[in-house]
Amino acid sequence: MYHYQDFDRDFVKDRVSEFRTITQRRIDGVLSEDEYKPFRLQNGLYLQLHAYMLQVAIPYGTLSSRQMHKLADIAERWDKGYGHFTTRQNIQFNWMKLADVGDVLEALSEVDMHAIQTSGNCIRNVTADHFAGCAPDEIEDPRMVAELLRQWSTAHPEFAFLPRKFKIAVSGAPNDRAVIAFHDIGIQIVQNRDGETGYRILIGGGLGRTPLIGQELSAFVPKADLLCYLEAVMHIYNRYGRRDNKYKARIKILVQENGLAQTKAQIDAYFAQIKKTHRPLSETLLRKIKDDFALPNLSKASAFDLEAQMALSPAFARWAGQSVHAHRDENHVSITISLKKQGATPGDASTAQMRVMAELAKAYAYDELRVSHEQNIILPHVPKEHLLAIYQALQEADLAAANIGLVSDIIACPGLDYCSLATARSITIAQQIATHFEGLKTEYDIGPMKIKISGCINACGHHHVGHIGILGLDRAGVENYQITIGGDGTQDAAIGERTGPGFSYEQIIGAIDRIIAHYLAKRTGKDESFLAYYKRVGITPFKEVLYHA
Amino acid sequence: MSQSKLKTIKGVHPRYFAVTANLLLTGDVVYLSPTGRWVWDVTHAKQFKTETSAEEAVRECQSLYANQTVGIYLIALDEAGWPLSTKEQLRTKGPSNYHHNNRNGQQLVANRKR
Ligand code: SF4
Repeated sequence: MYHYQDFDRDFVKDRVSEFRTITQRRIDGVLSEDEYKPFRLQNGLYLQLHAYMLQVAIPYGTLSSRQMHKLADIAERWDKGYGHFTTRQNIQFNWMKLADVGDVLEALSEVDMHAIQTSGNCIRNVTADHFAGCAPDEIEDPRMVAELLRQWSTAHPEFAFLPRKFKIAVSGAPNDRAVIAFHDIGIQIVQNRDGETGYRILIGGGLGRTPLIGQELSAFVPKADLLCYLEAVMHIYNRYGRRDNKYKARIKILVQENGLAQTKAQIDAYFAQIKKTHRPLSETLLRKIKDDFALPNLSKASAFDLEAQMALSPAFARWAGQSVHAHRDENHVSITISLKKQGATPGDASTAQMRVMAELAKAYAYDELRVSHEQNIILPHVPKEHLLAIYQALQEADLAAANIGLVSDIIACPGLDYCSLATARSITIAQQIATHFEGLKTEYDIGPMKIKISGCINACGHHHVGHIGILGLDRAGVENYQITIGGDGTQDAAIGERTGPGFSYEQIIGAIDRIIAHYLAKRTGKDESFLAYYKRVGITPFKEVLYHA
Repeated sequence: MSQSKLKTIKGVHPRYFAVTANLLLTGDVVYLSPTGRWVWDVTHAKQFKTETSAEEAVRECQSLYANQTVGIYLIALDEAGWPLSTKEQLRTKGPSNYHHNNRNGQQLVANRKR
């Protein structure tokens, strides 16, 4: 993984000290809240319903055990003993005190972490496939691009005051696990006919109040041109992006209003202009990044027989069946640790659980963890022989829920329980759905299912791309939940279709139950997934069971 | 019954109003008390009978407490002095997924059955 250099460390230390000074001026009454607020947001500090919330950046979701330990220490000392992993592959602490935040940032800087670029109208923390570096279908580790973009965009003066926030995701494989079609820019690593590696660029995707699927801006940008090309994109956005209306300020609206052809022509023209003088990237820098993301020195074959072990223990087999994924090295696997135990808060991990995961990474998994945008934790490189030991340790830590990819593996944003922008609760809906289907014992029968819940139109819970999406709204002070069906955040990107009028807090679990009961009753067989069934029959039968049964 | 410019919430007209904010240093949810202090317990909040008088109090607080609090605004209460909107109920009770009502672990609503 990327290792800080002195430059990075000095930069982060300077930001901590700047934070302390300016925050003290606010506490002393020298600065008003209006003057202080933009500054605290630029440092990832929000004021939520009950307290301050600090959003800590985890670049492309990659953590070392030391960093995970530090997050646990912070949760223990300055929060309430837990942290919330988010769909941005970050972690947020929900119970911060203003006077403590300088110390928290200092603690983060000790392990090369910070909370910069997690808020404000800048290029946000770049996200990437959580199986980067280990997925068998990968062309190249997308984190190398993400890291390059992090270095390029951090504190870049031209990108400090964009019309609106800007999100970039990178995938290194044809199977998209980074939801690239729903980002301002999506980057897919591809190979052209000559076998040369480069980048397919999508533009103008996004969720929120105007969900749009990213369109192909370029089928192939050569490696050497990437930063220059993206600079052209940012320049055109900065120049023509709307600043008169924050709801129309994202690049997706620019592309929608002007059309892809015009936007592309502007970008290409500017690219041609700056390319002539663009300095090539330093070979030393590129080599360092490449070295930082080299595969660990993977251990050699061992005698572990996964199939035999699964036959011995049904519980282990169930867990392994959901949580263990193929690795590019046949002696290794990747593991997803579920932070979705039925009834628990999606994405939350206690201090003790964070420490267990850190220790497991250190002992068995080359000291590396990842945060997935699906709010789970990944051990990317695990020798197969350690699977059983890891499983047992996870069981003891209450982290062995065997539900990855199932109906209880729900993405849920913090919603009205924490978020000041929310219009309805999402966590409690997720908890109820998970326990409902656990009670029915139908999770495995239902099979692959992605339920995603947002507590407001901002769609941090990615509801538009849920197989079943739930959007919590406010109707005259009453929580109301709209359902969408058929969303897909993968390479087959699709925006879910709305079923019709929403349901009350009391009705929504029953509505989800009716949708799933209908699918179970009508599918051709277990091989027909929920999404496949929806694609075959459309929305009408679901409307029937929801509104006319 | 006071006529509110605030919309009816859950079909109920606000009966009283209170002034709320978050404390600058801790972020704690607080309410203006009858003695002009900030208290954690909404049932100890000053209950304004009219929205206009609460609005006046908000303006006054904004000039007096701008450096101790953030985001001063008024909320609508029901007959029993309880916040009408779900959001304000959650601010008072704390999140529904954990049982640590406010940051000090105090039971803000010990006597209430809601
Ligand atoms: S979707 Fe809305 S409620 Fe949920 S975290 Fe985002 S802003 Fe808050």
